Amino acid sequence: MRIGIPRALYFYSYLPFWHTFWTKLGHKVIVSPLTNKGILDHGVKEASTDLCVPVKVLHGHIAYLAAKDKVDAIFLPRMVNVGTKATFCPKFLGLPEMVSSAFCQLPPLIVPRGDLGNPWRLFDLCHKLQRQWAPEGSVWLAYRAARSAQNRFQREIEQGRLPMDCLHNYTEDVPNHDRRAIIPSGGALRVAVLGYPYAVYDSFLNGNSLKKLHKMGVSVYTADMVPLGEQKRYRRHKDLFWHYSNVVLQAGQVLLDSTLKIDGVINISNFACGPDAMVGKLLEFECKKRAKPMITLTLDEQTGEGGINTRIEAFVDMLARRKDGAHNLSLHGQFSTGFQTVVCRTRPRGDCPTASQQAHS
Amino acid sequence: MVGYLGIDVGSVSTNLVATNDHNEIIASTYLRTQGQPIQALQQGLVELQQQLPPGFKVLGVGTTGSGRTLAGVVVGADIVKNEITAHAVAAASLVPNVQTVLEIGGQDSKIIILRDGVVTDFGMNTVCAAGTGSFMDHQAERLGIPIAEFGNLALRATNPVRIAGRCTVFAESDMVHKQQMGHKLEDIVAGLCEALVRNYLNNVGKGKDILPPVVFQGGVAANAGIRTAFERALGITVYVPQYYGVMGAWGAAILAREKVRGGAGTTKFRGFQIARLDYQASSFECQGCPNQCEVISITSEGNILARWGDRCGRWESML
Repeated sequence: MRIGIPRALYFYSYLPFWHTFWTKLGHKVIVSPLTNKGILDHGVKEASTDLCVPVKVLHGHIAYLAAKDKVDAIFLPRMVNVGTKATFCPKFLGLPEMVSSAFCQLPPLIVPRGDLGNPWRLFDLCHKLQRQWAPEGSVWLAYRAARSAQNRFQREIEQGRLPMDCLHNYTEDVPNHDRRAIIPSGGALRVAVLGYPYAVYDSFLNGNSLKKLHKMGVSVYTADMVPLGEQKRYRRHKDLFWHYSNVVLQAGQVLLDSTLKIDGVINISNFACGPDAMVGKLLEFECKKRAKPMITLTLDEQTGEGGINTRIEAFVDMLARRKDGAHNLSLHGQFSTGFQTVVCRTRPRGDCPTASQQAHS
Repeated sequence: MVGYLGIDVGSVSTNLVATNDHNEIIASTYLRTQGQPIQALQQGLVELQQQLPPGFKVLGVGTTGSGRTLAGVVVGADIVKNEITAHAVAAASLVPNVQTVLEIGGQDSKIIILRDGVVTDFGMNTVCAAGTGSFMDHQAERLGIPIAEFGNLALRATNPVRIAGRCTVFAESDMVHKQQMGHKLEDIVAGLCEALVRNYLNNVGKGKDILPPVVFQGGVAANAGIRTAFERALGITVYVPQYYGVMGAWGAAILAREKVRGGAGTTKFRGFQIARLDYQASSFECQGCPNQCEVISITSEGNILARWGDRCGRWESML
């Protein structure tokens, strides 16, 4: 059987596990390509209007898989939680329903409930899937292989590789230029790029931000590079409700306090993301406490990269100047001598003659 | 005479300045971009040259603004810099101890926080252009008031009405409502200025330490109503530089001077005659992969000067 996996949302975190699992059970896994304009357009068309753009992108990937008899089934688990009390975002919980109501013709969806409090729950889930979809296969072998693939993936990321560079083992059609690893060391500046995996690693969605940073000589660190054990040191007295939000917040603090000496934080957020309203603000507090600059990039359907470019460029400029302390550029205003400074006070009322003259001439 | 050029190609206006060798502005132009950045740039160069003494020698050129890459290619820039850095450099050169720069332009609004001459924080408006120059422009047009008089009208208000400033669409319907209720025009206009300032401070300026001296620049600084509203909301004096409308361009000129003096040596400037050359911008959709990037190419007299817009760099690197 050909099982389709959309390259969206939680698959940026768990693709190695599920890909290996289904392959070991004797199925062929087909992963949708990197997000592109066609996929985004399709997703925007099919999804209902008030969704965040990553969920719309998921719809686009589903549309890709569903078209032209590419797959016999689409794997879309309902991810509820992984090990903590926090659940995935409500939109994740309703994904299967959302998707099946958006499309009129879909291959069958494989929709197990991913309520994975402990490893045995995961094994149970795998067992159920095996009994239903591959009665001949051995769940134990598939599960073990999947676990070790996922662990390997996790280790690679913790060593500083980016998921998109590790995931191409599981996908077919990654264009060459994306295979280049962005190894986060050696850059003059160190920036933590914090956000949900599906926003940070989807280079189409975020206007290729990571690659741009890399080109500017910036080393990039992401939340997923922080081992889970370390993240837990930063649990609050009350966690947030959402799994990925906790990861961003806790891992973000680990990075900020680490010996890496992070110079600044870029928070990648999605327009219309509910949880991000909390996460962005809390992250801002944490950055402020440590006097680290932070900027938020809000992603939506725009494909013009101008706004993102300006912000990233200005942010990196600022970090470089801060780091230099005294710098060789003229921000100290040593050139202002001899310049006749004409400032006009606006109170008492009255327009500044030179100013208005200038505007209307 | 020798000097430097700074060019700021923004969404609404295209500004050029020429400075002498001491970073003093000796000529400036301020034109509407009107969706045609290349033409505006060429027109600006012609006007600038008319203001300059004959034989003025350009030692370096810097570009900034949302059209900085395009402008950089057309004129042959020595440095292409983002607006934040350009504005900060200009403000700090004028008021060396400046701590806050408020900048409201055509589609962008930004706040820049400086301490000891270094940018320590900045904010820009997000995807939405509410509360920027374009919005004021649109409302002025709708009310039939020339934009130049908008600010002075606001100053005549005795009792500014409250207008929802969160979103342009709501602001407009609120304004229509207040009009129909019979409020005076100047009160509505003043209310609009206050709404815009409130929106700015609550979005772009949220969580920023706004300390004096505060410099207010960008095209909207021409509006005395907004300036007054800022002073009222912040409780501190807000300074508007003489060349408030061309600060970005000036910053670009200062940066160009540094770049050229700091080792670049000779300028890449293609000369004032480029105003008479024919530049063509064309775009096509690349069919190389499903991304279908919109690739832009700039040609002049049959030569391709630059290409961009492709995510993979395939066209860019073909030159």
